Amino acid sequence: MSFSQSKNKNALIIVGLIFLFAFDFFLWSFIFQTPKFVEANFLDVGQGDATLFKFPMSGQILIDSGDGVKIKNALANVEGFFDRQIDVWVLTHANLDHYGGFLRLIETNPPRLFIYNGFDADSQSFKELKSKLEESHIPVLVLKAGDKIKVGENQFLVLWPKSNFESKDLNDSGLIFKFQTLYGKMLMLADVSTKITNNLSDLKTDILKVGHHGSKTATNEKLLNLIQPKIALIGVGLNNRFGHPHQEVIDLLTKIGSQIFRTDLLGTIKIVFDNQLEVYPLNH
Amino acid sequence: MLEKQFSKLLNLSVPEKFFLLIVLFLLGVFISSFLPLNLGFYLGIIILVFSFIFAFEEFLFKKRIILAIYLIFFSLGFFYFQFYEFYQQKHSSLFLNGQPLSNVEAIIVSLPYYQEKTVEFEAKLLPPYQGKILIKTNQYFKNFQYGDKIIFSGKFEEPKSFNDFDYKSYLAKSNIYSIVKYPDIEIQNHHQGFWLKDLLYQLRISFQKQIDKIFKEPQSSFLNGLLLGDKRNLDKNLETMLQRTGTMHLIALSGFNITIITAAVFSFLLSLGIVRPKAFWLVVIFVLGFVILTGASASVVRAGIMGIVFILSQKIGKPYQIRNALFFAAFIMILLNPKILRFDFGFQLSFAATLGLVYLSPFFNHLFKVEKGGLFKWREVIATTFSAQTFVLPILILRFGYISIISPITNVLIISLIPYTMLLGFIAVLLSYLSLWLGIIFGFAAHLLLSLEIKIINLFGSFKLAVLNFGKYSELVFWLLLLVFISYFVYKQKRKYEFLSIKK
Repeated sequence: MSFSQSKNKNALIIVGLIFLFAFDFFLWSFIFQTPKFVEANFLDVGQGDATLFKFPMSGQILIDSGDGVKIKNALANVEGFFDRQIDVWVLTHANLDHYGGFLRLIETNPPRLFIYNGFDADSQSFKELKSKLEESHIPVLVLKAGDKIKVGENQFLVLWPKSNFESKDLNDSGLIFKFQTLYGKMLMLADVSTKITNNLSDLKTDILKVGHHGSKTATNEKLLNLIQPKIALIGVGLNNRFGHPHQEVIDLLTKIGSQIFRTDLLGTIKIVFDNQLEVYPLNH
Repeated sequence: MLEKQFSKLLNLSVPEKFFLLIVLFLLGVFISSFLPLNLGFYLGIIILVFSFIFAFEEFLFKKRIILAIYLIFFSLGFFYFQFYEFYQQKHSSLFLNGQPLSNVEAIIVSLPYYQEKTVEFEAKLLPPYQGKILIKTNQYFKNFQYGDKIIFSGKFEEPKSFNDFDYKSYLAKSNIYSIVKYPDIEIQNHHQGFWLKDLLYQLRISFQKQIDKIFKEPQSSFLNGLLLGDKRNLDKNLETMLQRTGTMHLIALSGFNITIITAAVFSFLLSLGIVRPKAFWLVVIFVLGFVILTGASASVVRAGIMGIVFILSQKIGKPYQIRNALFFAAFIMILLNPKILRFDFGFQLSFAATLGLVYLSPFFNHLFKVEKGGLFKWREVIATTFSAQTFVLPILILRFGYISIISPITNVLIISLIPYTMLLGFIAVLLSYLSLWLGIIFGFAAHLLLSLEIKIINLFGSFKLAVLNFGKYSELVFWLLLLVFISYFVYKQKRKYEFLSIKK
């Protein structure tokens, strides 16, 4: 092999300088990039729910995580390279299409706190999640109706489940949050059915995370009249075997005048809680 | 005329004779692989006996023993395939198919493949049973490892083909004749496998965990492919894009990646002040270890053997003949498992690509005027891409029904970045053992390169005209291409022969 050594060395120095420059550029842009307003990223994780909340200068909360197949791709899509600490994980209820992603993340990116509704699933994979949380010494917190998570001027109000609620149906035990900011409100109905949500009060919000991936068991006209959402988010996988979202639900939402955003058609959806309340698909 | 050809065969130089023997052996194996087992077995014996008689007769009366040896090698190849298949089936779990069995003991002999909601691994049955089986389970949250001794209860089934994919032959190629789906499994013991393999696999798993900690998706699985040839966790969409842009070979650990890694290790050893002869042996050991660590896929084994032949030829001062090294590698691999010649897609691709580099690069180097150089060595990359891809084309067409026509462009854009990406990624992983953040900071450079490469692949892959689709004509195109190659080869041989005889 007879290539000139000095030429190679020069090339290496140039490549090194380019990287140094790129690195410097990135560090500065990273500093300027921290969001000014609260952001919610309604992630495209296929059939399942996952929402990443980013707060200006004060961390990140991940509510549900999909079934795990697409969580890493979905997160990388909304986070920078150096941005890897999610402080709090919230599991609305112990169904695989909500906690599967946590199982994939726990070894590489464990949180500082894990919150759920206190209802354990009987499945092996859920037991695995619990034991891994314990192994990593991550505190586990159970929330019930009336509890709040406050982050600066914003707060998550827990509307459900009541502390005396007992049920064998995991879906109906799901944590329902009303997220309040200065500029807008968002209601997250987990997979809870209308049997329960119809009896809740003070639901009126701008943005609705539609219950149970748009299943007709979780949405009816009465509920939508209580909420009056301008914007409806549906976390759903393309051509899923459940037929979600159900046509009835789409019709009801259209009738009440909501603008519908589906992750199967639009990918990840970004919501910025500023004075205009921007909602847009991230990759379009 | 025939007499001339004959005398040509008799008066070949030693390496030529060696080459021809291997070709005939491979030809025997290949033809034999199309015959049904029983017929082929007896036919194999008859041909073998006949060629020995012929050899004996030749030896006694005409002293043209070499001709008989050619015939013997062909029939040995023919017989070997049959014998191997017969032996493997006899010692397989074939006879257990259709039966539910309980408390079967086995040892996991492959790297478990964790998918979305399932895990798959190969297991070797322990007495009273024998053979290798594939186990598929939904207990993906359990930590299965190479070398685990397990006890399971489940039904043995014959593998079934699906969607045109000959799953049965695909598994039979690794001597697996049964699948057990979703059995009850209990892990009894760890580390019951071959200690070296166990050690290297653990190294690999630890390495992959570090990659996963440093990099995000899809960069993480892309780098995993570059360094370890593991493309199983790749996003389906990106996988399609890689196929559409003809860049899949980059992350499937081809000879290209191994050459880069071997060269890097060699210069590292030299820079440590290790003397050349010693460094040679260390590199040989390293290559062997790396082949095992990456799961010994066909392309890696081929590149590994050829690499070692190259190093040895340097050491003993004999010229390295890439063609003979390639056929020698193929010969060794086929002795180990003759079924790969017809049923291992990876082996065929790797062999065809290297064959192209041997026979076609003089032509393409001349065509693209490689000696002129140019930015990113684009002439050389294009010439190499064409040489490697030409013989691969028919195989790809037969398998996928389409070929990438922008492959030369994407390869030119990406290939020169790959060595840097691999090196930076590798260093980042090493540093991350000291401190994760150090690895992350260093990994950022690799992240930028990886992102750029993925961007290019996604951009070019999304073009509608990126691929040429043959649909139902795939098989026809395959045979046509084969015919073109063979007639070109014959034409060239003939010209060479005429040229030689005129010279005389």
